[in-house]
Amino acid sequence: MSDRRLFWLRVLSLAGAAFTAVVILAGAWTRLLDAGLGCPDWPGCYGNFMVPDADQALRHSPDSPLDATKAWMEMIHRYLASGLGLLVVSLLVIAWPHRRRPGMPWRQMLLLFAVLMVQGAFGAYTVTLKLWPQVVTLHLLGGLSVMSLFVWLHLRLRRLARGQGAGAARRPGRVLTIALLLLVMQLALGGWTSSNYAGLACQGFPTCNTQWWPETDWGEGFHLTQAVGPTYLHGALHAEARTTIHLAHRFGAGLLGIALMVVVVCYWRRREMRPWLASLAAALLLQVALGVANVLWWLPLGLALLHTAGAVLLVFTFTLVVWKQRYSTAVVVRQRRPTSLVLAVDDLDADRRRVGSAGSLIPSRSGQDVGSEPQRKKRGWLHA
Amino acid sequence: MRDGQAVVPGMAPVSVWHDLLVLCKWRVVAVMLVCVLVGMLLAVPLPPLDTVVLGLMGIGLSAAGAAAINHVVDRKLDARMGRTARRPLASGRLSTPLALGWALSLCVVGVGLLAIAVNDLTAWLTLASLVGYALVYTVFLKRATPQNIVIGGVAGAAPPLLGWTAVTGAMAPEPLLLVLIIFAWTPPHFWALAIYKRDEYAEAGIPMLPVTHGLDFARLQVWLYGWLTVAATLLPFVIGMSGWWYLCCILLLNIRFMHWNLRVWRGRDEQVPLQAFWFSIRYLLGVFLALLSDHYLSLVLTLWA
Repeated sequence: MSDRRLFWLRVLSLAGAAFTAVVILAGAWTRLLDAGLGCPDWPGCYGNFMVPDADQALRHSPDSPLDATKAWMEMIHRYLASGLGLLVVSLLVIAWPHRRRPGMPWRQMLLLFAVLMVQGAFGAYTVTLKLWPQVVTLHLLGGLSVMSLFVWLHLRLRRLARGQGAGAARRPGRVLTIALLLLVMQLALGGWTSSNYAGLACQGFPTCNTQWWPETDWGEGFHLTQAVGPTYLHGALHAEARTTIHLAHRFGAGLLGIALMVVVVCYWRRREMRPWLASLAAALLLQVALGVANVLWWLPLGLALLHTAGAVLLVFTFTLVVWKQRYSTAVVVRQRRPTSLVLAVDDLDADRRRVGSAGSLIPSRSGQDVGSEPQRKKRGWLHA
Repeated sequence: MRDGQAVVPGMAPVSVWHDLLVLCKWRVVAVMLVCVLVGMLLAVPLPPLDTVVLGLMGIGLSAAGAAAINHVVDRKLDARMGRTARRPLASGRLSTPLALGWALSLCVVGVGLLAIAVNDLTAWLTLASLVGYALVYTVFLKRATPQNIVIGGVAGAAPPLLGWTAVTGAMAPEPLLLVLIIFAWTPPHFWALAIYKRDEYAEAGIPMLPVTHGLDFARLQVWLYGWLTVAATLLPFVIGMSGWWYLCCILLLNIRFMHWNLRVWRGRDEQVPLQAFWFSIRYLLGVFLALLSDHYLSLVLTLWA
């Protein structure tokens, strides 16, 4: 009984992570189509559950004429997001009877629910504050953290299902912490660039508008309490401010790139982390390439959406690297005697692997990426 | 009391900032801010963002200030109780003038922020509940009468009202009903703890009901005030503030709540009052959740029509 619940929790958390990525991309698509104000009200669209016809819309709010495509895009984003809310509620309902079970990440589920509620509020404020860039940026960051939380939850549930407790976790090192801060900052800068429509404010690469150091206006570009409104569709800042924002996003990319490379180099000696470090590096390269391509080709819709997808991928791989780091064992394995729980767990895995490869028809899962390695101590694929 | 300042070997020195944060009772403040937010969301489905942020900041700072004043006033009492002897002022790590200055500046900034950026009514009400908690309750009621938490409960019940007025700028029956619910809920909630910790209160010389009137009487009061709470929680449905969904949720919640109160009243198990205390916190959160979910559910349902 309990195992079945745990199984469904794992399925739901994984589905939630994937679904969140879809909701984020639907949100990005809504933004790129300028459909964020497709419905002038919240939670309904022109006071309806579905997009109404033009007459009804006119009666509801005469000042904002209906554009059915944009309204539908906005509403689809809202339906999807509501679906995500239902998913988290069902997660809570399933986990409820086992909330006190040791190792059950119940608090994290509650956190997920709370963040999702805040996301709903940000979604609403996006509409009522007419795409105020501050809220749009926070909405993006919130979405990415929801995805991260789902991934983390899934990994914890897998660990729980395998009977490994939350113990023996390593604290993230300084390098990883700095990289995390830079990642969050760069994601925020990306959201800020998009919501201030600064994507085209620096043309050409590596120079910006044919200059290495164009005119900038930091005070205006990063005036965080400014509300020049009333609406921020297509941006409200002047050209120099937007250039500054775009430039900051480029510098941020440079800093984050360096930090992530340092992370890759620092942890490379832990063998079982290598696939994840490599995918982090690949996601980083992809994201930089997409960023440059967006500049060179003047932000075509498809590429712009892919740049958001790249951000999702970067957050995903980074989350996995942090998780792997938490339970990686390479350093401990060097010790001779099994003194810690970590090592005991590792030996257990090794036993299972021996059984798998010797006697059964099922091929060893970890065989896939261990085969070439001389040392068979390594742990398996996404093996937390 | 100053000799407490000597560094205990093996204990890490605590920074002044950490002590100042402890003074604010940030956990209690966080719970109060949740109540404020509930009041805001029940007043208007989507309150203006600036009001929410500034209102929460202002009320949060004032509440932190009130908590700090409470520390200052109670410093001698705290030093006598084992549970609280390690507090920054009781142990002498912080000086009283510094703590008092910190407390008062928090209050001034908080109430000032509310007056300037939110509205006058909220600022006045916050000031009133601040004075009610920090002075009337802590200095006077707590040591004077076993009815202390009943009367002091009014100040504790204010947060949803503050949230409501921050958003609407006006009094209304609905937030007063929320105040009534928390007011009625406070005695069974707190007396359950007081029954469990009776000896500690007796040692500190605080006239809690179980100390002055005996355990049996306190248990009966928990049971009776429980019924009062049940009546108060039914009122939102009666006056049409909430719908059937709320009624269903609240009936279930009340059954569990009264089940715990019944066990406290019977008094067969020493541990029950503590468990009832913890349940009562979840109960209040449940009431809020029921109110909010009913509120938004009805909002979505009107869209279908």
